[in-house]
Amino acid sequence: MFLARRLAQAALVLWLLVTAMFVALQWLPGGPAAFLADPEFESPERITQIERNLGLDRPLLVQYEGYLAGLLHGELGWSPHQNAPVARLIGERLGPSLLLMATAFTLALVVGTAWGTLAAWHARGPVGALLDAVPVLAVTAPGFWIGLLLIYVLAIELRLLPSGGMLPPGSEASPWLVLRHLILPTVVLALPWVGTFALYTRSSLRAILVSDYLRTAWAKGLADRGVLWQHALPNAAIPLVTMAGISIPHLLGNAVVVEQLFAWPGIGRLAVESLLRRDYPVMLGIVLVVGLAAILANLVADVVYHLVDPGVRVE
Amino acid sequence: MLGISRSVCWLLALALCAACGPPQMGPTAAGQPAAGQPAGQVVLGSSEEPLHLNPLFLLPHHFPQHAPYVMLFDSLLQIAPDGRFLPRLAERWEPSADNLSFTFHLNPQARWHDGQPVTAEDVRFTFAALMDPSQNTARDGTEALTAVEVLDPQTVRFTLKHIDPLFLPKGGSRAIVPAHLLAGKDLARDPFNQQPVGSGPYRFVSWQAASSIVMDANPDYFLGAPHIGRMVFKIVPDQNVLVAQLRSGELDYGLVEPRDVRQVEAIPGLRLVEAPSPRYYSIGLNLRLPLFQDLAVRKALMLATPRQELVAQVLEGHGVVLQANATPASWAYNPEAPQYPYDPEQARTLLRDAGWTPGADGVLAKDGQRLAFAVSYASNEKQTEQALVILQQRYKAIGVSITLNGLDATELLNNHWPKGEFEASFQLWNPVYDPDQNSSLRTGGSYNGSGYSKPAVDWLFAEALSTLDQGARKRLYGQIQTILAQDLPSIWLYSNNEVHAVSRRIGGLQPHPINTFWNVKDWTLQ
Repeated sequence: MFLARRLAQAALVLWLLVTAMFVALQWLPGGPAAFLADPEFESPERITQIERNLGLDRPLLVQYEGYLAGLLHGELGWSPHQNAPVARLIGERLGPSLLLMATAFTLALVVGTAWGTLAAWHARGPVGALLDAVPVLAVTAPGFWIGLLLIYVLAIELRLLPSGGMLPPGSEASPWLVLRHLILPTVVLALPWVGTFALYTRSSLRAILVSDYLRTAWAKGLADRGVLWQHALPNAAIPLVTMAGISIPHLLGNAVVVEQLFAWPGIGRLAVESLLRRDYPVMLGIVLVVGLAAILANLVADVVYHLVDPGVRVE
Repeated sequence: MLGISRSVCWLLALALCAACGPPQMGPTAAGQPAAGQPAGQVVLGSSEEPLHLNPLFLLPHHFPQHAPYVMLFDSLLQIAPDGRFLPRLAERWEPSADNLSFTFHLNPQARWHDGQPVTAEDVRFTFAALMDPSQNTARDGTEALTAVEVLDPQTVRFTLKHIDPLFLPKGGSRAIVPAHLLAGKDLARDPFNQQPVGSGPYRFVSWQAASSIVMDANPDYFLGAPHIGRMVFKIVPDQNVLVAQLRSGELDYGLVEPRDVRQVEAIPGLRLVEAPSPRYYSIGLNLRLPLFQDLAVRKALMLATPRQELVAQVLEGHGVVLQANATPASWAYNPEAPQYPYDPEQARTLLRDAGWTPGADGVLAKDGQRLAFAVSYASNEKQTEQALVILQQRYKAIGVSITLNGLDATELLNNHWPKGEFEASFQLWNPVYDPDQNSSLRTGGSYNGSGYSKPAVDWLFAEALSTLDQGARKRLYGQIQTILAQDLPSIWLYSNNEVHAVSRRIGGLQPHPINTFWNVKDWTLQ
């Protein structure tokens, strides 16, 4: 019942998203035809002709109906600029993007939580200060600059890792090769969120470590490890789940920069390029797919929230 | 911490298994050349990726992302660096006595990469597709065509509705596509767009989306096999990373921005090839505005524009100052056109004599009209912004105030400029295949954003477009440049040289104003 309602909600949100995007495209200055025919050398009649070829001369409502009908048949349309089906263009880029975001998210969550736990546990002395300072640096460091620095040092000077791409040109895919190429973009994309998760874990855990029920646990003779794992961390995790949900759209936004810097063949670059050349079908397709991904991420966060804190009712 | 790092590794591996499978288009089996055949590999860097590999939709020119088209396909003829026409698919060609038709004789040795011969039918099919209004093909070079006839399998005749000097450079440069693979197909949707079969010196091997295109030498190329075995076209979107990869030797070629030239010069394994270009920048003035109808104002602006300083600062010296709408790289360039020095004093005098007096804010004014205007420019052009900031300072010194109006490039070029919706507009001009620019300078031209109108110029354009005699055309375009330098419908600025960074291992690269890769089959590798 919960799932059915959420799915109906998701369909509604997607429909609104696509409709809003469809309308927004009409306000966007310029059109796809001017990109296909250089106005310096082509007549205005030719540009009108191309608009007709693309079906852009039809009433907006007819175009919209046509697009929705296509969607219901599982058709995302064709890119008039790339001469290729939108589904394939997005499909090619979605895998690399999801891979990059999933690894960056996992890295941020695992390292961030671990760091925050250590920082909360060793709150005093120079070690504590150091554990506190590093996440702040991670949050504030500009990703583009860190990325360039890592490329210069690790890829160009020390030649430990490739400087960009997902595979060496022309080579067959292999998990090992992809992993080597994945390390730098993942680290740069994850870095600010390692810091964020660490800071949240630390403050949340510190508040809990001085709470009465933990004092009771210690008083009962429970070992440190047991106190931490059984009592403190599960409770500290609740704000983390919220933060994790918030991090997804941010990761998506930052991924554009990281993909550009590391020549990662992801969907962010496709989105920016399609926008610049007014490739309407690809832009609509990306909005749809990214919207779907965001909705799914949200759904997962809700379920996890419920699992972490049974007090929260998903209904 | 050890436990954490182990679990990170584990999760990474898991994510990899789940989401692997890189985008691969086309066959990946790379034929290894036999001994004595083309050998070695060159990696070309480009900040942009081709949208598709179907030359019906593009007339390639100087952009690195056009390189694959030039390597995979052949055109009827080839423009040499000095502008002469050389044979390519056509062994020879001749115009009719009235210059209204051209007969091309194809090289009988020419073959498609699948082994089929290249025939006159392929040429006819290609041009029919280019001229079909229901296709969104790029029509460059076909504007005056009325018919393309196959006379025999090796001979094809083009008929034009009027004499068109642009037909040979543009039409002759259109890549020919194979009719036996495309006839009856949906040209914009056929997989050919991503896995092309051409007749050029290199054949298509694979395309990893947003990453690289691999091409191998065509050992049976009818004009002689290329020397270099494999061309890898690698997409490196960030210019800083492109320079870093040139430094590390990951790239053998890359187009370099002026700001990076000094850095790249110092890299031992690279040499720089600098080529003057027919492209140039100007600030178009909207002559419909009363402010710019005053020639004294236009002249004063030209005199107050520190063009030498702009070349030095913005292009780091890699360019030249212009007097009108042609650059020294163009065969139509007229070095005799009137020259303007940087002379703010003379500019001030001109304006004072024309009745402009300083207002309370220091800006000149006349009859209640301030000498102030907005310059529209494409906001993604950082060099342009840099130039405009310098101009703002220099103009202020003579009492002229300009504001910067950054716009989306598509919006500016396709909307504001042709409709005349601007005060002044910073423009890049790209007359790569021919110096003619009648659409932007003749009365009523479809791209004449300035609204410039001069009967003498209209007549000269018409004359220049009605003869195939390049000497005569050069004189006519030269006269146009003289008039434009006097009339100043635009502030003529500068042309930037193209700076190519090339590995010292590569030999045979000859700079070309239109296409760096024109003679790629003659490149050698040490």
